[in-house]
Amino acid sequence: MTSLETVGRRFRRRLRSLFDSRSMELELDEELAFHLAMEVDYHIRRGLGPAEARRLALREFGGVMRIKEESRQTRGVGVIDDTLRDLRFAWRSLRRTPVYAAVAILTIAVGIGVTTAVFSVVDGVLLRPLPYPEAERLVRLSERSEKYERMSFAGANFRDVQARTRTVPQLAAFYSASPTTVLGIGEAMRPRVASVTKEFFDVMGVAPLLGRAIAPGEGAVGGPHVALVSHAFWKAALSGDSSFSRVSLRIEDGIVPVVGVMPPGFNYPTGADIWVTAADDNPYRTAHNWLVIGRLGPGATVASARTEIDGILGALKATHGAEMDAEGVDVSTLHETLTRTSRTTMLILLGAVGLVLLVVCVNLASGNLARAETRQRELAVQTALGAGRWRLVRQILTETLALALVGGALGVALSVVLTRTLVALGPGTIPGFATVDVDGRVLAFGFAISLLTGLLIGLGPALQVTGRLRDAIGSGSRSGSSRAHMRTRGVLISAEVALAFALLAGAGLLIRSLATVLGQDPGFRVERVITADIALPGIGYEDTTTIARFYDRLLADLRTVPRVESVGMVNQIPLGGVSFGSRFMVDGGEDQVGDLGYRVVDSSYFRTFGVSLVQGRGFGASDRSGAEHVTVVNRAAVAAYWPDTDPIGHRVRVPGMDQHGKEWMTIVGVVADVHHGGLDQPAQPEMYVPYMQRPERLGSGATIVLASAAPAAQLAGIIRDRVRAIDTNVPVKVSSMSELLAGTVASRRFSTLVLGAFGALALVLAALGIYGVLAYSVAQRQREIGVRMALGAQQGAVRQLILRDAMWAVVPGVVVGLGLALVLAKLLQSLLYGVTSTDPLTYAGVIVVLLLVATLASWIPARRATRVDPMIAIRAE
Amino acid sequence: MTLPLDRVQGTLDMLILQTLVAGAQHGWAISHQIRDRSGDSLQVNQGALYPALHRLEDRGWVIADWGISDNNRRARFYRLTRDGRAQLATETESWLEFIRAVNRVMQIAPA
Repeated sequence: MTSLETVGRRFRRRLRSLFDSRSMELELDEELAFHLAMEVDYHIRRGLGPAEARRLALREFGGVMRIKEESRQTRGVGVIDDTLRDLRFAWRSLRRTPVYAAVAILTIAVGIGVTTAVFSVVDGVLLRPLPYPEAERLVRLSERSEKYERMSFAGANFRDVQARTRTVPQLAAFYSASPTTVLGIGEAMRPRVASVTKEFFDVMGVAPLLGRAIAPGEGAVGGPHVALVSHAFWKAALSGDSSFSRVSLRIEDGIVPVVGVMPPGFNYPTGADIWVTAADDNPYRTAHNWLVIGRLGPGATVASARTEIDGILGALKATHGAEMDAEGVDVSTLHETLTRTSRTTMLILLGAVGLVLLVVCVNLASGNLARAETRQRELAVQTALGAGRWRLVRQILTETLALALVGGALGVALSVVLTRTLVALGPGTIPGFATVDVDGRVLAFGFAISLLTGLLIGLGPALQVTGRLRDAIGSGSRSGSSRAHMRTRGVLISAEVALAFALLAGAGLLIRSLATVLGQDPGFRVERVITADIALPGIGYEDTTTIARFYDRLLADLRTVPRVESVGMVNQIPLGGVSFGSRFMVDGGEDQVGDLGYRVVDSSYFRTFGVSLVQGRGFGASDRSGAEHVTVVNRAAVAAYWPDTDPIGHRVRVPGMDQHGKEWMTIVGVVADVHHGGLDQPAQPEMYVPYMQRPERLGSGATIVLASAAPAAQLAGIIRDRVRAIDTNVPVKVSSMSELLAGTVASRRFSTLVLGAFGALALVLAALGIYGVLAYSVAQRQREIGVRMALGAQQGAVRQLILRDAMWAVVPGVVVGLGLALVLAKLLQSLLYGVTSTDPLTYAGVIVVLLLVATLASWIPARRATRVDPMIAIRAE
Repeated sequence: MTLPLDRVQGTLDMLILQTLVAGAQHGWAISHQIRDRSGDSLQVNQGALYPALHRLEDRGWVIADWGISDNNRRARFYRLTRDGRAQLATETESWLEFIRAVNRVMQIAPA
């Protein structure tokens, strides 16, 4: 029935009525005027006088307004028309109150900005799927025993599981990427190398960008091995050269050709620069060397894989008995494995920013309520003229939504900056964190959250105010419903205070934890200690003598460097992230007594590093190869294994750390505990051995420690030169102990900083909210205050009246906030150190801060109240 | 008897469309023509006429153009579109059906 032509015409008409409504109104006026004129003419023709004719025509004509309104509605643009009118109205009314508009928009911008920034981080780290095909089918497998929830796989167990499993038909084993000396491309380098079995890239489902994948026959035991490099490494170290296939790398003690370059997004195991094939024929089922990744087969789930492989490992355990310690398997998705450590932090950030956004909403809702109330009379008049309640609600909502969208747009812009800041501040240890950025998903989130904010801010006040219009008309005065509104605003202030309390308490607990961690005595000197990581290549340093000769010479050379006070050496630096240890036997016995960390040091290490000697002696020149082997243990070892006796003179034996496993060592000294794993980790029982007797472990890497007042950057060049003078193939990395220490608390510092910033933000918003509401209430109550003062109330009493009002809202807020904080702080438990989640000092501090800020915020309005001139105030209404 | 509302509105639409069959007319002429042709028994209230005209225009059954009236005034002339003619046929058919139905009840032979 309706032709295309008609549809087009109708569309044009609607467009015109939207954008050219003024000329359409004029046309309608003209048309009606024409009709009226014709009617008057008609009556005159029929013999009436002009005045009489006009009167008659007008009477017949009826309500001009109604005709116009009905005609307008036929254009079918009522809703859009109304919205545009509401927007114009909102614009005019906001322009009259620029301060309110600016504060509201800025508050929303900050709220949306931080929320969107945190969302973009959480999205990037936690929510986004991994960039591998069907990544949800990738699983990580670990051995499980009664004692350990997750252990690396023994190669023998991996091979058996691989041969038997049906649920995970594709399985690969790998080592996580670790810094390794690589030769063959110009200068000696120390990229992160990951060893992988030949199935690795098939399991991941990613093919090389350039070159080829691992070919059949490659990567077998003893067979040819190949290397693939990351896109970044190819660009940086191989200068993006397409002739990479002619490059061979010397990694550890092997020479492998580079056959391929992986695509840019491929980053597994995290941080790998080079993947080199490896295979394992180690028969020992307790050699927990391998991480295992697999791809679930069709129809298989994590649970079914766990059941099946539990069965396989159970059967192996039944066959091998004590030779095997694994009892079952742990299967987790790769995504879960990667986000396990960051999940808590991320969720806490998300929760905290949610609270901040709530504070923003509550704050604006209370401001908006006051605003809607001042417009109550105007709204009442509109109601009298026939505007429906929904129409008025929409009018108020249009204004807040407009504010929210403008604020939201600013906020999203702000979030781009904030996200980059968060990423820059963030700890490098969280996978995926460094690549977080604002994208379409995040923008959509920002938009949605802005709309929601606008609705939250506007709907409550709109409903409350329009619900009472009848009263307002009846009373004819503004004070009619202000009591109820005052109560609502009091509740909003309480809510704001309670939310701020929760955030401040969380921040306070984290700050106390960080302070406790930083105040912890690490057990070594942090200031003025420079470290130089040395890594000897496998080739040329196969035996003890060459390793010892290298370090002998280097240490002697470094001692001659000006401004270097002393030089020591250790195989694993504290906070370096790696510790080696072993079971040990005592005093000629064959029973394994317990575990001891095993560190190889030189004779000046303790002195250089400020590790204090508690008992006995340290190492000296006499502790050389050929002499009786000696060791020094730490206090934790004494507490654990010789609690009631003098450890000096006891003998220990450590099998498996090096070639001296059969040799007994005599304990000659006890040193203070060192927090090797990090300040928030307890010290472990440990032993130190002199490198002149047992230098082997230094072959895989050592750290030279230099006590010097000179800055690390200044010494770095000198140290490098001295190393190169001995062997150009040895890479060296210079750093300082304070940098290392900062690295270990980076994650803690980050969450503390963010939560602290949120707490401060909430505090400022709450203060603004309290100030706004009180200032408004003082303005509303001018008359009452004036009367009181006219009747002789002192200024102090008036001030107290206002302050008491404020406290009526603030104190319940503090009480509720205390409860809320106590509940929420339990979620922070895993991040706390040295304080409990109910730490009284923190809560007392928060109460004091909140009450102080609330008093300050109410002080200005209270003082303004005392300045009310009674005469003016009474005349005002 | 109250006629269903859409019947009343539909009838007015039909009357307006019918007056336009002969050619373009302005609003005043339409209302007077309906009155004259009905022998003064149908008076179209202006308050109903203009919303109806604009509704018809919106549906694409008539097109409005500005022109000059017989007495040299600027006036808005409405004319039928093809859709409008089709609509008139439908309306007429439905009106006759309505009349026949009423007549059957009243047992009056169709006029």
